[in-house]
Amino acid sequence: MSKRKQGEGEIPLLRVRGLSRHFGEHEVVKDLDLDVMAGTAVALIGPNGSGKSTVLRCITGTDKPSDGTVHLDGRKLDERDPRIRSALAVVMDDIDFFPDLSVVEHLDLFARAHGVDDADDLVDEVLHDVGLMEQSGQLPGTLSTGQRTRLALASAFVRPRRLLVLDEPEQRLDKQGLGWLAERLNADKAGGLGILMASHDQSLIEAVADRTVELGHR
Amino acid sequence: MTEALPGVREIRADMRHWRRGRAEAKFWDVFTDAYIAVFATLMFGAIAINVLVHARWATAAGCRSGGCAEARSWLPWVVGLALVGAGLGVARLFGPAHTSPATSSWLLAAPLDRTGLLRPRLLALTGVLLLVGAVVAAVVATLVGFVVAAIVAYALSVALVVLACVGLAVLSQAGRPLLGRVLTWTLALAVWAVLLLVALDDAPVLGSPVVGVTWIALLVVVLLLAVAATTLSQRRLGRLTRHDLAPGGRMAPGLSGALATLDLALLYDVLLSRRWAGHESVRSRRGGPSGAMALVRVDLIRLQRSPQTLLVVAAAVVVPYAAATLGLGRAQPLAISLTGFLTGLGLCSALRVVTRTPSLLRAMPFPVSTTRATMLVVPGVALVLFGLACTPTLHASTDVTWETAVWMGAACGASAIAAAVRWVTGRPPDYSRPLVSTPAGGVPTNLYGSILRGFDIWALTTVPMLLWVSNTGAIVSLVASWIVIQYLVARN
Repeated sequence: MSKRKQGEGEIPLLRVRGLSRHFGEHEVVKDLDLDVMAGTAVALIGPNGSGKSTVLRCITGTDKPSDGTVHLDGRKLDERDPRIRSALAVVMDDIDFFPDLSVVEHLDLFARAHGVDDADDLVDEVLHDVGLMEQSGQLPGTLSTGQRTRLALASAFVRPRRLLVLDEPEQRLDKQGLGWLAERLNADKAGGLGILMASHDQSLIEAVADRTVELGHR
Repeated sequence: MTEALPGVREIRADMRHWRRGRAEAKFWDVFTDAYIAVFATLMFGAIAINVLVHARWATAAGCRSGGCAEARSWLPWVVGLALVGAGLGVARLFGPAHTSPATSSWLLAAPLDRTGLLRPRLLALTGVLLLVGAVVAAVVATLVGFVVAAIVAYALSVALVVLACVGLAVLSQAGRPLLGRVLTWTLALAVWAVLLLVALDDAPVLGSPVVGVTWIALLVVVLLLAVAATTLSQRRLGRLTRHDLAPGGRMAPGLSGALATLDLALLYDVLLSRRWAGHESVRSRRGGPSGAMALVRVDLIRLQRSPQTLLVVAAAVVVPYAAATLGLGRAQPLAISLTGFLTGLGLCSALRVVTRTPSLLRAMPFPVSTTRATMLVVPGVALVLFGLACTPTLHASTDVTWETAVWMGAACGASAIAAAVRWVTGRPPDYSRPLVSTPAGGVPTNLYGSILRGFDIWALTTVPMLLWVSNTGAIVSLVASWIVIQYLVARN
């Protein structure tokens, strides 16, 4: 993963221009411009219904914007493109798991599918970090909602990525989990990755975000 | 000051009263509004009985070979055992004693008599199973030419054995899980053994049963067994814990939702989730290849973890052989492909999970088509092997050379996997699209068609082999299956 320094004229890792999304007459997002540079974190903030998740869904390709363009690393973001999938790690609220694979098998699968060389070591490290070592042999159906959130986050950390997109990652995480998450995201930033997240948690935003974009203010 | 606790009957009476208070129409109003449905039911019922009576004569006239007569004489016993097994399976799936999520939350926590709370739902489930068992048994007995007294006795016997099995399932639920498991597997094994006997063309032709002293004595024994199992199970109801009762109840809303929208794939999801909900942990297996092959390895782990999915496909090989004994002739590919399709669905669970969970597909660094196609490797190989294992039946039934039979066997396997892929990748009814206006309200255009999903591809891909019983037919069928699979795995 290449590191880039933020500077004048540099191509942003994620570039969003004129993004709009309306449902019938109701305009949820209008003409949003947004840049995320490598090695920085941008937080989308705003009240419920302000369009944070809609923006993330449009950016990650799970929803179709009514207007606007999204580029990742200078390339038009098309989630069908395997190169985009390799670069984009997404943790949103639609995550689900295979009911018959254990926690560690999920992470092992993600790491190996992405061709990680030292998959065993990385999976063990992430499992330890997210505090799911003891639950490594459990099936997802037996995990608490907080543990499922940790597993979802872990699935993003065991694979290579250039941009990490998180939708309210603080949900169902306890204080200790939030502390770990902030630490982990800052480590990712330091490693040159870009982070775009929607959050309501002020402490997480303050700890991680370099810039906030407020939605829902018109 | 403490007041006397209300009984279950009083609570039920209150709930009935509240519900009646919210009713907007009287029963008679609803009945008169539903006259079209009533007339339609009567009309279709009359047609069905008429068809049944004619089919009885037609099947008797068309079944002249020794093998067919033999298979036909064993059919009621296969169906009877299968019905009892299915009844037991459904009963165990729900509990059989279970409560709705609302009852679990509100009433099970209250100091009420648990037996009284559980009995109505258990009785309802038992009643449905008895009715379905008896009706299907009566239809089969009619088709194979039983006399009226034998039809009644046979249907009654099946219903009583189902009743006994439901009672035993309650006992199994109340701390004896092995009992239910052993009984289910024994019944499945018995069905398979009878099918094997028919498939080997080695079974004697059974005469039409006569209701005599032996049968009546047997009925009395089954009745006593059913009464004993039911009485014992009623006593155990009060001992069931919330942990025993909740899973079946939690599943019920999902199942009813799936049935209401005719979304059979959702039904599959609910059952798959229920299947694994009982497991807390597994012995994790790590390592293996990188890239897309990691998905294939995971499918192999699944087979190790749940070998019954493969065992069912392997055991089902006996069905096409039994069908060949019945003398299907040129229609033999239909039996092979259909059996493969229905039994192969269990192997496609991974494909189903990624179909309903786009986030998992998104997490893979491959094109969607690669991820889906990779998940078809294991089920595809298993079903093509299944088709090839049925080659001798094609050689015997259609009088083709061994080479052509092998091609047709492979084509049947490919047809089965194509139909299974169509079934598991089906989209749920889309209420955001234009709806068709019906007396039952707005209905999505793909709602009713969803029942035929999978069967359409089964028919499409086996028709070439019915039209050209040759290498050409098999190759056209293989190409058709390949095109269907390519389209289904690549679509967004």
